Amino acid sequence: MPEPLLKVDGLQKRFGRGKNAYQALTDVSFEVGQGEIVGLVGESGSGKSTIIRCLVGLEKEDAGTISYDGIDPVSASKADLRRYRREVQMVFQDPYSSLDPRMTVQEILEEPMLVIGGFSPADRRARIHELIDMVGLLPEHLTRHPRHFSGGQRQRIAIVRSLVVDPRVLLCDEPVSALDVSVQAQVLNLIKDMQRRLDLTVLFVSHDLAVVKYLCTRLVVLDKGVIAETGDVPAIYDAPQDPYTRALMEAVPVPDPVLERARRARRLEAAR
Amino acid sequence: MDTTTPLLTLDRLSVSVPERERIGGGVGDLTLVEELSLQIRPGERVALVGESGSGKSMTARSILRLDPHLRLAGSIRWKDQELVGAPERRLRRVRGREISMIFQDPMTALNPVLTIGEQVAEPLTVRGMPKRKAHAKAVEMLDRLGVPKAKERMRAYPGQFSGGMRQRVVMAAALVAQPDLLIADEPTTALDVRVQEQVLDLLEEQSREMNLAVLFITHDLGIVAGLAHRVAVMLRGCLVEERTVDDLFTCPEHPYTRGLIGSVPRLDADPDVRLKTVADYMSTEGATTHA
Repeated sequence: MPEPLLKVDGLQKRFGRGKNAYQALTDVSFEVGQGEIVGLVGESGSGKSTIIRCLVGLEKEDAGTISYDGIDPVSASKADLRRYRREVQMVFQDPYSSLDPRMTVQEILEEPMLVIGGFSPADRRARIHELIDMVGLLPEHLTRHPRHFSGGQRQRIAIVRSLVVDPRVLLCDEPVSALDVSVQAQVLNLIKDMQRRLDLTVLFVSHDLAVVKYLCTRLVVLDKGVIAETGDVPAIYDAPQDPYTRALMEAVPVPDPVLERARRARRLEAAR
Repeated sequence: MDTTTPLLTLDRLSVSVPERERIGGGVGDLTLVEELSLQIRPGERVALVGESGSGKSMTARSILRLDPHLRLAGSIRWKDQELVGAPERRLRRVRGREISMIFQDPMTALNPVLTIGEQVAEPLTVRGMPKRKAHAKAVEMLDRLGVPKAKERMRAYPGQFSGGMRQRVVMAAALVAQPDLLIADEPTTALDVRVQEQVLDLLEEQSREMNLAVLFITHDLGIVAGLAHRVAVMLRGCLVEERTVDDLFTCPEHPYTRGLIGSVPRLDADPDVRLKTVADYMSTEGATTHA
């Protein structure tokens, strides 16, 4: 594995208290190396989004440490925290709710640079134009509002927004699961291309094992807040060691009628 | 060729929003579904596949006329009666008894303040079946759909059930009156893969055992492969292709269908081969897409 850039160590998170408490994360530790695309996989309630939310500070972990390039956001100096917040960016699942409907695309894309500061108007313009060109948006799109764009276009806007401040790490929380099939492939290819061109490190949360296989180099499988398995994508997909991983893989539908019917027959047979 | 009499025949069905009902204005009627023809025979499982905005849900909803402000043209023939233009009371006899429908989100499909039992038995009690008998039938149906301890759980509320269990409850309520056709609108989209598999297996099993016809609406071609007999593909309100499931997957004719099949990442594909997008398929073959 390349030099670890992002580390999560012994992360614990519990929601609620007393009888209704829910242990969302139990002692979760993993590393993401510079330039890797790591898939974080699990079912709803497995804690994958909670990890991402802890990483960007939307949730506060109960115990454990997060470290990015030597910076621990809990004890970091102001300057380090600034660098952390600039270099670790996030793309959300639903581009219909993650873009402010009252802002123009230009305003949406400028905002992170204004918040972080240090970008001259000329810098801002140059960054925006360079990136929208990379993702296939046009300069005339900048004056429009999000409602004028399709889901795929909106997700491209959201991706550009995360990239304008020149991050090194991209945290993606199910970025294609709200999109139509016809644009999913576009956005996946875009993430793949951007990762290569900008040498990004990506933590990619998904429930879709086929998507993860296409995109990721390494995999972390989460089962009810506990890591079930981690490893290189080819190795895990060839021979999943953990029964939970195996069950998840076997449940992925294959677009092939003959195979699918045979699988269903086997399942029904086994259930009897 | 199947020669059984069709249960349902859609003949050049068009669905449109009349000008005065258009949200945000706009000139003229807005066509959502254009001259769609489709037949479903008893016990047959037909998948209607398309992306958001393709009109697949509007087609399904129009069969039961769930959106009374929409204008329907053409014909919806159910057994020996015409549903387009039929009075509301006739539709009410069809809804839930002969044709039932389940929806995507099992969290919102159930009433949170009524017990599971009341909701599953409702299609029967509402038509005058004695409570006790309806109750027994509801328990039986929940049991068939694999809800553990069905009898005790009749008194539970939807909030006490997981997503997968709620979708089973919704299915039980849809099937308890033994309809001839079930319209399932993206019933597994909100569920995890393993739960999705269970729900699809149940759907297939019930369809076979009850000779239940199913119209399955989805955007995901992968899940219809093992479930449907026939697949109809919609694009921008029109049916672009309709084939048996085996033909559709082995030799899809329309570039859009090819795109839908080819652009989905597969577990058995080589990740180093760049994923082609639907637009790639459409443009190389001279068609256009809205994406």
